[in-house]
Amino acid sequence: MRLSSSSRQLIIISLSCLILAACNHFKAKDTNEKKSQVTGPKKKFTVKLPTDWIRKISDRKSVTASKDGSEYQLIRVSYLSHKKSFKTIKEKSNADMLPSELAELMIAKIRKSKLTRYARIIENKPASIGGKKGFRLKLSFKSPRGEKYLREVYGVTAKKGNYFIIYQAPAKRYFKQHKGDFNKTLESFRLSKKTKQF
Amino acid sequence: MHIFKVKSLFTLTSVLLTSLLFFQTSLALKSTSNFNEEYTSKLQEQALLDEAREFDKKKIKDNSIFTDKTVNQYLQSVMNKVYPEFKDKIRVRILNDPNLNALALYNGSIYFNLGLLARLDNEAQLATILAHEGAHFIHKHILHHRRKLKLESEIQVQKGAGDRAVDIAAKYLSGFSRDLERQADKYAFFRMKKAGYDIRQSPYAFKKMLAEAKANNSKQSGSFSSHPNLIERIASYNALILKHKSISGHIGKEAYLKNTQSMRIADLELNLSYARYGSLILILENKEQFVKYPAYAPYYLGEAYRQRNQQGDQTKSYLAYLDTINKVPNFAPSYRAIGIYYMKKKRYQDAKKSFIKFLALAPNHKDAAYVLQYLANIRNK
Ligand SMILES: [Zn+2]
Repeated sequence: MRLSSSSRQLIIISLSCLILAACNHFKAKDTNEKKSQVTGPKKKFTVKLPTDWIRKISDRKSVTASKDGSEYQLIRVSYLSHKKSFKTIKEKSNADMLPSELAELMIAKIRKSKLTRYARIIENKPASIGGKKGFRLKLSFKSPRGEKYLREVYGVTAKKGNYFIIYQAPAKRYFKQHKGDFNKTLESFRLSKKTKQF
Repeated sequence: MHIFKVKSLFTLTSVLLTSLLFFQTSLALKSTSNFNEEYTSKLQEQALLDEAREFDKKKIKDNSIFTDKTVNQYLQSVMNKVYPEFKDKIRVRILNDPNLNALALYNGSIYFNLGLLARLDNEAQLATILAHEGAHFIHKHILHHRRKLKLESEIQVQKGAGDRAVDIAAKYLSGFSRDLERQADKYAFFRMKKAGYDIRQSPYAFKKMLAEAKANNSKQSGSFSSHPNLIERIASYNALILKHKSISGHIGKEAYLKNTQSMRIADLELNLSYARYGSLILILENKEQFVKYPAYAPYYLGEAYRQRNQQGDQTKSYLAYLDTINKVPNFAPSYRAIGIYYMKKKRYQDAKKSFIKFLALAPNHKDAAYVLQYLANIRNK
């Protein structure tokens, strides 16, 4: 609550440390691959990430690309089991959930995160993801430094888990500029042939 | 009320780093002989004021403030009644937060969570919390709290007990000590009485917190780690009441209900969006609380049951939607909700009728696109 600006910076640094630590834990691989096509964890999906984005990371749950290398400007595609998808809010999803119900859980998860607790939900609508019925959320929130960010979250449920595709960027500097890149990524999202869980 | 919850590794790390920074700063200050104690004290106060100002700035910007004028003006007027000598200087704001809490900053900014506000029954209960937070400000509790911890930590550092110093550092951003909380309670009680409120209402806010903690299975020690536990606080308020012969006074039930009407549904929606289904059910299953809500409130109860989805909850949600439709036939969200229930039960004709009714009543509703999708899904069924 009562933190000076230098303390806040220190907190941001410590947050970054924790994020990096988490990546190590998951044996993250900084792929830096030139090719854009990426296969998701456990070969659950394939997706094309923008070729000129400088950083691409994959771990046990997701693949992430960042235009400038920061964790605030990114595209992340992830697969999470029903048990793990909403662990932070102590809820479990299931394969029978409607897109609107999955979106409700995602909103609760967003509210649980300190960064997005007071996020404004701008849009909550049905969407098509890899040809399947899911949801699309658009939200805005302020970073710890007070900068406005926009985030889009797409989600779709399957037999054993959920697929989420996130695009996030500072509202003024990047969001519109790289939305085209994200749209291409979204359109390229496919379930692997092995996974016939929809 | 409490100030901080040290919940995650991140928070703890932040706390430790922040605290160590504060210590380094203070050691640096100490080693500079030009700074006498008085000057250091002024610096500390200035730092607290800066932090408070920054917190205010951030809260105003980040969508966390509940802005309804009537409710805000009402809370400010009650604060002014309790502390007339600080009229409008102790500034009350409402946070869009369903947790039962309130907090005071060093500059006199008071933040009252919507969740706590929605649980109160009358103005006297509201005055208790405002008087308590005002007491933290007037008695400079934040400054005392930090100074005490800094001193304790320095003693441990001198003794060479670094680990112990880090433990104390971790308390830096936690809540006040029991002594400070008791002092705030006592002073709040005195101010409530002086302002003419019924002092018998003073323990109720804490009773509600206790019920809430039980409903959410949250351990008291987690939410109120730095407070005397709730039972003890309720007992101490009861003891204070017993000491006073003249206990009657202003309760202000009607004024409270009238002026806070707009925030009650906002709080229900907030509870749903935070997946706090147990809290919402606790509120609306309580007959005394239920009467404070508009006639369409059972819809929210239905939503809480549907989303909690424990055994029997789906039937309870269905009955709550039916109840709402009976009471307020033009309240559109009930038809969307009951339509989904029918769809899941494969009662497709009932589902279609309900969805069509929803769209007729609220064609531009935020959920209309989903409803159109569901109608399309069951078109041929
Ligand atoms: Zn307190």
